[in-house]
Amino acid sequence: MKVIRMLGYLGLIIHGLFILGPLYVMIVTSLKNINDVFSIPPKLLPFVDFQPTMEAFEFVANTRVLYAFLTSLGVATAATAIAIIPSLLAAYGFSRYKKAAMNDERSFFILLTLRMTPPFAVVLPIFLYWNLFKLYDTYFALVWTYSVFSVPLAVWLLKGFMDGIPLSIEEAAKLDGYTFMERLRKFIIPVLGPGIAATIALVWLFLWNEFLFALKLGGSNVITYTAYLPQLRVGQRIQWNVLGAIGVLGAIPPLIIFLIFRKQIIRVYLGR
Amino acid sequence: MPKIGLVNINKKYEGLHLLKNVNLEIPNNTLFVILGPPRSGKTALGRILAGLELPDSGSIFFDDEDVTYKGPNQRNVSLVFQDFALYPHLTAYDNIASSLLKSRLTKEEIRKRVKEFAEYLKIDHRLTHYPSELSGGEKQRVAIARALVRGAQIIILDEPFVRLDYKVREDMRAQLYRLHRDLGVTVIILSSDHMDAMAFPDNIAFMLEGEIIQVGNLDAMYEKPTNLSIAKYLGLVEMNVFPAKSILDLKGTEIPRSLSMLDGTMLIGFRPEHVTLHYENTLKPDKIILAGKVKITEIVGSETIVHLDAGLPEPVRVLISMIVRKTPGEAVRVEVDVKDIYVFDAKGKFVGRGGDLIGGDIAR
Amino acid sequence: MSRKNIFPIFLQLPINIIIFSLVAYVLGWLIYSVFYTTPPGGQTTFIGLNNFITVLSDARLFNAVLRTAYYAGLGTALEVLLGMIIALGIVNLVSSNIRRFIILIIFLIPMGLSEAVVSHIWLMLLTPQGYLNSILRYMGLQPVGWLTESMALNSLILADIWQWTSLPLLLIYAARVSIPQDLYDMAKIERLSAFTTFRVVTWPYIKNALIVATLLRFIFMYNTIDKIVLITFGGPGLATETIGYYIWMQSFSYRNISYSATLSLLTLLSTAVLAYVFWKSLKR
Repeated sequence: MKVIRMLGYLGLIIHGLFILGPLYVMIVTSLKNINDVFSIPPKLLPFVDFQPTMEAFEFVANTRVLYAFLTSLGVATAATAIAIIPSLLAAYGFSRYKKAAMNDERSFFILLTLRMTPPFAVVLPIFLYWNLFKLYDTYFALVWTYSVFSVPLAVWLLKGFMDGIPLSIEEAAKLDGYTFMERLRKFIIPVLGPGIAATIALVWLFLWNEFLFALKLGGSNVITYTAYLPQLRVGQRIQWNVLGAIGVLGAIPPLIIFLIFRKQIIRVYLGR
Repeated sequence: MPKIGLVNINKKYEGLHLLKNVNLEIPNNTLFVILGPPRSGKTALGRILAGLELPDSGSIFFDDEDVTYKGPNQRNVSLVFQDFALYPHLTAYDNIASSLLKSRLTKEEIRKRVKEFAEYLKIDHRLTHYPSELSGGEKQRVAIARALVRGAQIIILDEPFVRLDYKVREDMRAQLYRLHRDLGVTVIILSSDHMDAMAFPDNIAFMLEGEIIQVGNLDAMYEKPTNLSIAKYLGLVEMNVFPAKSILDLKGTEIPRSLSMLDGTMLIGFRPEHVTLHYENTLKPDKIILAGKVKITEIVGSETIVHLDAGLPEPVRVLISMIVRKTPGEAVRVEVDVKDIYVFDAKGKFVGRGGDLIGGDIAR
Repeated sequence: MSRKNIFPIFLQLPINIIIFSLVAYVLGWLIYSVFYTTPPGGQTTFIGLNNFITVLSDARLFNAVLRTAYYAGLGTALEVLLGMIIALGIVNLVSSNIRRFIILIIFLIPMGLSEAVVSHIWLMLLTPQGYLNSILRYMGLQPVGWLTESMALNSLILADIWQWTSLPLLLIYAARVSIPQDLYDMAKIERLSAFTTFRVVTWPYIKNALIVATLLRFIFMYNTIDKIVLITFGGPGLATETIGYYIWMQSFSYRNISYSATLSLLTLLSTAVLAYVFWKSLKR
């Protein structure tokens, strides 16, 4: 038995190293001079194998990459902001009016289907659509597209949280004389608070990380940090260190969100 | 305070006929219990009374005013939910004050009223706490304070004691009575616990499957229940009920002549508390004497329930008001006075008591 | 009474406006493009069911389907299996809740990264002069052709496993943790073997989580082509061309608008079927 336990611990450790390894590699690469990136033996220890330098990050700060990050920030935030309140109303409907038209299970299923649509199947028509209105490579196009694709996720999450609030609380508020808008504002949203925050965080994260639409709907004007990445591979020399730096910077918002919302996120996955 | 009249209330929900032509009058300023098993329609009735839902047909009158279509706020009715429904993000104080915030009272006046009711219900020391920090009994008192502070004249409580532990229940029952007496409000309790009927015996309405079966005081229901369900519902230990035939056909027991006049399909019931141990070996003219073997003895508090295998379809339950130890298999004889018997027809409708038999009122 | 019926519809109107503004055109365009084609500089012509005939005889599509089945199938199976083993491992070997939490958060990090970022991390590892081969060479071993025709698809699966194993892991972990300890105590009292305990106590509870995890991951792997776009470009040759990447190529490289629309429409139909299966499994 002891042997199996030892093997088990070993397995967990190996998996831990498996997860942390590539992350470490990314961080280390971001601190390298472009010539130090690949070598035999591989230079993996800063100060020991190579001199760490901030030149990759300086590149990010001084070129369009910075602009790309700001674009990602703006676009993700704007789309989330647009999608959140309509999604909240819809989630309320799906939760409390399960028998009504457009709020029933079938409608919810349609929303689910939308969420599972592969982007590759719809990028072309959407691209052509925005082209038609001469809105290719505009912020509006990307933000609006992002809003459309955020809605199913947001409604799904919010409905889950909404279902967890007993109906009797709303009825007590009704008995106390509050109208629907007042109930929404003073009782539902405050009680739903952590759930709404977690939903906003997860939706924002999804958009921050999005790649395909940003690549095809943006162009020279509108470029997110994810869409910028391929540009570092043109030409002979791939700027690996800058790729690493972008990866590190791109990983910061997810980490912050995980730290702030660790309890809610675990709860979403744990279904409680 | 007003007199409540429910006239021909009907309500269907998802194909189920929840309330079937309910007619009920609740006199003003009473402490009224609506008793019934789960799914009998009590909660639906309570919600319609409170104005949370509309009946499919029928009307509600407060004194002589038709309030059927008035919203809960215009009706002066308060409802205390089974799960208390306290707002988790507000303190106890804010919970209680919530309904007053919509009125035209000043902040000072609101504070006064809230403190008044909080003190009356003895929760003024917990006003700054949140619901998650309160005990079950405290939560309920906050819920009641919230319902009262609006100045409602009618307060409905849906299964108020179900979530409290035993000792707290006793305190809360006393508290509710005091409330009714001191404030002069009509208190309506929706309950499935017969103990609540016993605690508030003066005004009871029994509901079964969406209909009101009997209205009256506890004594009337205890002695002359209109229905077998009511007879079985009330009483510390459930009534023994057997088809008359099974008793009449019993060998080795004494059946008074008066009983033999009964139709075999009728049902005979007798309460465990009316069954006594038979010691003398003499025949008594108006007592049923059953002989059997002890199956189980249950000691509950300071009383004993003996389950007796007497050759009837089910064991006979005997309630003895002291601690008696009987061994399983022990042969025991018990007796029931014919006067204590309840007779029902095959459908469960009340026909009469044993006393009516002796007088010859019930015949084949 | 009618007041009550209309209100919920108003709740749904905002999102429907948002969604409809795009979806209506997309669906309409797809259906239209399946039956009509406009060759560059030419006339718009009705082509009837030609596209569907092409689909049936498209060998490249057929191979892409096979590759997708392999990629999504094997990837999902490995992720769910690994996730389950690790989840159960954590529950059985790590007793402190704090340590469990830390471990879970660490395993969660790859899921929070963009597919684009993960693609480049693994590009650093897999590229011929990259880190994995450097380490192998340093140890005196032969370098591996991670991105060659025979290995590329498997390397992509490896990258996906790295990023997404934690999803099945979390779902199964949650299910496992919800099992009352009493059942395990009973199993111990009855001296059940580890295997029987798993079969009788653990399995009934985690079965659902396993199914949900499998469906979620399969659909996701089917839907996502980011890694293929960024690491292998569908190659070498066609070695990593899945259905999604094939459609991507048809849309933007070959610009066969009509055919791409057909494939997209067919994909959407299969998505609806998969969503239906997922929906049914959730309702249990």
